[in-house]
Amino acid sequence: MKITNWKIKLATIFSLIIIWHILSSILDTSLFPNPFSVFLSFLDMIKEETLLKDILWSLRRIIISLIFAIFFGVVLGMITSKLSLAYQSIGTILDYIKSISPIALVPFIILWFGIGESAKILTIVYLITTVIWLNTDTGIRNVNKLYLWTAKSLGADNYDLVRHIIIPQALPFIVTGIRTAIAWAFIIIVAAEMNGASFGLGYHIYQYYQNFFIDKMLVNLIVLTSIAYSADKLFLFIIKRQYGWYFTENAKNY
Amino acid sequence: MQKTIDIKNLDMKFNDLYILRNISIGINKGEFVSIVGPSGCGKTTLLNIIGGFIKPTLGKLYHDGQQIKKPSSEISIIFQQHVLFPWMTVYENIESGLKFKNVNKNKRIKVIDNFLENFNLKDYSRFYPYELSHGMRQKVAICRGLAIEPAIILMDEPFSSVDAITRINLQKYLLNIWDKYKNTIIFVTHDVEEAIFLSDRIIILSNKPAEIKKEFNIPFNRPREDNIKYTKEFVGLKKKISSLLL
Repeated sequence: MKITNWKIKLATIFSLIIIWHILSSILDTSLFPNPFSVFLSFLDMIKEETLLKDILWSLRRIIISLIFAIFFGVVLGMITSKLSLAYQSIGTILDYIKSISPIALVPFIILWFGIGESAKILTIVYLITTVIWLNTDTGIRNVNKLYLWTAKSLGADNYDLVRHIIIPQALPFIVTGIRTAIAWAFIIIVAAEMNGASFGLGYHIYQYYQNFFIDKMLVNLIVLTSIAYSADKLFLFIIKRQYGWYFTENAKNY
Repeated sequence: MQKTIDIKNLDMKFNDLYILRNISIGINKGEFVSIVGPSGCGKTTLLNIIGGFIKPTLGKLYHDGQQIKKPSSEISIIFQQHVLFPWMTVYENIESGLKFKNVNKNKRIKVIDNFLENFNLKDYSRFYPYELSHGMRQKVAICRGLAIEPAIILMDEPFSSVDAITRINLQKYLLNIWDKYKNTIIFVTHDVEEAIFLSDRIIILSNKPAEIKKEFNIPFNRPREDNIKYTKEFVGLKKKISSLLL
């Protein structure tokens, strides 16, 4: 029997579920439900529509945040990589604030911006913009001068240079930045939703915690993680289709 | 008659070190001129200055009377490393210059197909540079540079990293194209035989700081056959020039 990749993956997941089940029977079931009861809760939550609303609200916040972050991150990256003045000024600020813990920032954002949707989106955008900025800046600086020279001697104007030389060359870096930003968005959304939402996967984890609905907590956690995982894989798929070159020589092990 | 490329008293200094000293060269339209010199003597720097990428410390350069201040598609350059755009296929690479110049699609297709045909690249038009051999990449680089029909073509040791057999073929291709389009070519090489075979005139640069040591007019008729490389005159010329490079 040929052992193929997906068979190994499936077998691994299945074994993990079994180990989970064994562990939960050994440990205190009230604190650590077994996979079967978690699955039953999952089905209940689908019927109640809470889960669906949670997913939609969380996704909405993440998608909006990503749109802002990609736009500002890439534009800022283009500016700081090309203008020394911008790099010294804006770049220094961004460089510093990228080290601010967003979780520490949550109470400040609540104090200054309240607990509405914009506050939540701000929390996410704040964290993920800087990684996109940094990667874009690095990527554009990485452009080989000879490609620019060659393009100029072929008659390229500035628009051609940006579109046909700089962006394709910087793209692997920018893609890495965006991929990281997607992952971080799913991580920080829980902190962003912690206070004053009505729906959201992260928000309900804390609500269920306060009411001791541990299997519901686990359902939300697993759903959130699975969506994050799928988003990453989907992003890679789209990039691979649009920009196959990115993958051919560089990363055959994806 | 006005020189198409006129270089007057060019000096180039990098960090207080003189790379080029008092270079004055006049090149006529349609001429094939080789610049020969020992490795590292500044030939590439000179070419980059003519291409408008570097500003000389002193001196002025003119193309058809206009001062050369920045790169333009009138003066096309083919670097030593092929510098093909790795994210584009062979077809797209050759197309790039034509696209930048807004040539319409039908004409583009015609021009590119023509080059692919003449350089034996028809089967490889969808390949990416990393999938090609070195010699083929050079071919594509030459096609790309020539596709826009530039007035001046600068070539920086384009065949130096290619095997001997491919080199002979590429030289032949180059001469065919030059014969057809009648561009002005400035060809940098350290291979004396190649320079004599290809050019109308050879300019010899000395070691750093590079000055013009001597110029040679090449007396052979065109089209040049392979076997002139074995004639007495050719070998004699080769000997003379090589001794100047030592």
